[in-house]
Amino acid sequence: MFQRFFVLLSLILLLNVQAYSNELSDIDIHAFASTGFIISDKYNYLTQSIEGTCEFNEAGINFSSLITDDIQIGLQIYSYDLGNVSNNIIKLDWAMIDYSWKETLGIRLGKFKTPLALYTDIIDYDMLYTPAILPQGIYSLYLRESIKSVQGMNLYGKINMGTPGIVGYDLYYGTVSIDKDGSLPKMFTGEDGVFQYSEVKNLLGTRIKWNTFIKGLGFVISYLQSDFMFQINNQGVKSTIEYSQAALKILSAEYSIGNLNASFEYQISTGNVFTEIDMTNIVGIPTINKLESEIDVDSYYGQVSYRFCRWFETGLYYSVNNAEKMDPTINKPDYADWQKDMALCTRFDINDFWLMKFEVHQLNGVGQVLDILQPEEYKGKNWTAFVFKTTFSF
Amino acid sequence: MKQIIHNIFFIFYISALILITNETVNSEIIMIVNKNVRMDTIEPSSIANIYFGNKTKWPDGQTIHVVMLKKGKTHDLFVNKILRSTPSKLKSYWKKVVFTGIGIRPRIFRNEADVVKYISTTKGTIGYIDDSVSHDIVKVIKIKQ
Repeated sequence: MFQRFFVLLSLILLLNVQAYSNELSDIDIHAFASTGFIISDKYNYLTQSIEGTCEFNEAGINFSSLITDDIQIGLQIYSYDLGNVSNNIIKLDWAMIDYSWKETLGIRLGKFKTPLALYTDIIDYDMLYTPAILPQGIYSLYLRESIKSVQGMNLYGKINMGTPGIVGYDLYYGTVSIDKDGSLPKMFTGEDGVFQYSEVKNLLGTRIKWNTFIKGLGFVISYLQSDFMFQINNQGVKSTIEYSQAALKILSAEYSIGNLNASFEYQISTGNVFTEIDMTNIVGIPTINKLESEIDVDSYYGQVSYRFCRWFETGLYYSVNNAEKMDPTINKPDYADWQKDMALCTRFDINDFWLMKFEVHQLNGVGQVLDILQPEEYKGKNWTAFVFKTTFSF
Repeated sequence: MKQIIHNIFFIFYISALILITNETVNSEIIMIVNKNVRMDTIEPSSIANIYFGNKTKWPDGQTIHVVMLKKGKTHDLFVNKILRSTPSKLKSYWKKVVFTGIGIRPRIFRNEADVVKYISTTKGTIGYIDDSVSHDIVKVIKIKQ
């Protein structure tokens, strides 16, 4: 169904290019490309960073056009690489028809960027924020593909309340496609497993953004829930992992005045996990183990940034991610239960199209160091990562 | 000697005053719209809402099309004094719009005469220019203070 929609959208765009071949400006074309380098001392940060890696890049190009004053169509193709994830396979990032009926009500159909918290929809576009890497407790780069775009329907609008300010809303329903080469399959299957199947159902989300009467001060409430399941085959052992009513609840506050920006966000992740492990093929007789557990994880961060001049901006954030409590029988240190990150970021806008970023992360805990990136031994709770990134966009 | 220094200082002072006066005279930003827009006055907060995507329709329901200057003194003054923001924030906002697909980038021109010309021929458009630029073919809407 979605493939048909994509083909139809591409045809409309192509026809539009032909129709306006003398006025190419009627098709809006924008692109970006970024590449980075990460190096860390004790543990792998997002990718195999202990030895230093350049496998940290994104690129995309989009085409948009106004069909009428109120109807817009567009699509973006995109690729990224983060260590062993994605490996620059070209994918469709978003493709939609957008009908802005009234200021208070519009509708988007197709694949759209997820309206969630302050940065989920722009997580791939680092030219739109100060750090090279956003606080990972809420904006996980490793898991971004499972949340940054939704296929379905998005109702949106803005309501001017007069003195209290403006309230913008998004309400959306749909699904997310999980790629076999993506991060979620790699996270669950490890080195030896085979990802067989995934399904995301009943994804429902909303974001309500209040631009208050105090200039520059805004609050956002976001909620997202869905049911999803994976099937994995790991050397004959079949596992089915089902998340029921997995939910994200995020509160955000943002203040922006002059060259100063400050933000704070708090997220709670909840849900029930049902795991079924079928070892029949190994044991030879029907052997199925069932496990049930609950997720209740919270993350938060505070961030401040200041632009000193046209070409230089600096920022600082402190983020905390309280990971799931480890099973005491698993041989892991207590600092595997959390990850705290103090990041000092610098951004240099060389011109309107090109920027560079350098930042240092002082980390405490390894709660977000994934098992597949885990070192052979634990070397203490304090560690450091350096990030460089450069981005071109127009 | 003192008299010479005094004279030089006086000349600098007068020159600076002339420059500042010229700056003031030449820096009157006006808002212009296509003649089909049925508005005569607008508040600075409404202009900021338009340029930051919070207001997308004129009161009669027609879509607002934003026109901008690429850079320069008029652009900086408009962003700083009327939008009460910064050029980098405005640029960031529109980059967000185009890369998330939620809108089309505004028309951006290098010179103000082109802004006037485009607005004169395109319904629902709004832009800003320096008052000294010829603008007979568009409608001026007064900024409420």
